[in-house]
Amino acid sequence: MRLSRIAAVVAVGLMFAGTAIGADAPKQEKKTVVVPPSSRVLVKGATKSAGAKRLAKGVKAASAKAYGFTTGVSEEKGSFKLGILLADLETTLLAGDKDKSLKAVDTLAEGLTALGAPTPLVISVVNIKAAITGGTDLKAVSAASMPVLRPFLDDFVKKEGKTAYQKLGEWTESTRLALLASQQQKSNLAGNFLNGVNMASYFLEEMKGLNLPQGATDGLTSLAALEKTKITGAEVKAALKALAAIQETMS
Amino acid sequence: MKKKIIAMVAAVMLCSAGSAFAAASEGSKLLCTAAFLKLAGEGYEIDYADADDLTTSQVKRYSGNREADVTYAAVGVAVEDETKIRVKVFDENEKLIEEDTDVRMAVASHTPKWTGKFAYTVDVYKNTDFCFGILTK
Repeated sequence: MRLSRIAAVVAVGLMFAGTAIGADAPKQEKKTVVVPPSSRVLVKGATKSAGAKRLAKGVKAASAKAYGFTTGVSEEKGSFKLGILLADLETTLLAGDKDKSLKAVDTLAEGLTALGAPTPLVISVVNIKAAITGGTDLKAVSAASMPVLRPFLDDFVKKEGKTAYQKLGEWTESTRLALLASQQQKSNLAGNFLNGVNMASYFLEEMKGLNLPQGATDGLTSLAALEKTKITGAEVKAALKALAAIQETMS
Repeated sequence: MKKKIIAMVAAVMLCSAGSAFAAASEGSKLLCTAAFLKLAGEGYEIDYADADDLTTSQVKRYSGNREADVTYAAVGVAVEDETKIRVKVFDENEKLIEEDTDVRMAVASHTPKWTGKFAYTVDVYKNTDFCFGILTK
């Protein structure tokens, strides 16, 4: 009787010990997923130190024609441009810049149509345009519409297998806007972006074997070398030149 | 009228969150969406979402650069009933800065003081499908 009680206590003790070991034992890493920051987060962060209006000054109000959407564009380049437009739209909405927001949303809708996006996705972009035109506060449009639009857009690009291109577009444009704003206000924003959220090495690795144009690879290599804490004015200029080269070769 | 608008917004958010978990099964998608909606009510929005499965001997790691002064919530949702899930947040020196363990849903929030690399790990106490999301406020 006594022996069986001892055995029971030992068994229960072992069970508890087993649970503790199960929870805390070293586990095998299944996979590491690198999650590049979205343009929404990058723009939100940059806005805090540079102000949205300063950031939006760098947005080019380009038409769908200038983006090549009207004359046909490859899925790779098209997805890259969608990324740029997402960053531009996030920025101009936060800045309350109605004209540039309308231009970006128009081009985004045309771009999605050109790339064969499902109709509901295009309609949701058109609805954003209607809200902007109708006089809704642009910050409210940003808060209510963009988080809803983004998963659908991400999903569409993912299904086409072009997520890396979209993310590259988002990152190059957000970084370009942050560096331009940093030049105007002489803040450490450029340093924060080139050191803290420098994704150049990530994209070089992620897009290896995708036959990126040489200009884009060269631009990313130059940017990767600028991932350091102290950034000089000349290096900011060099970074902007590299970003322009990437955007030009991907256009 | 106000209730109608709230219902409409909730419906749109539901579709949107569902889309974020495109890779998950229908049951998992609904469960994850409902969990994330709860946080949406607290002013968070989805920035990244993933769905996968884990055994008790595995840990899944997510890493990336995060902006200073933005509040992030790393959320893990276990699909299997009564399953504990744990989410940890590490800074670039691999120092644990936040951790949460709970049944069904764990939420570890952090607001970086500097812009830089952060990592999140998810592990479970019972083999299960799970979803993970990075939400921002």
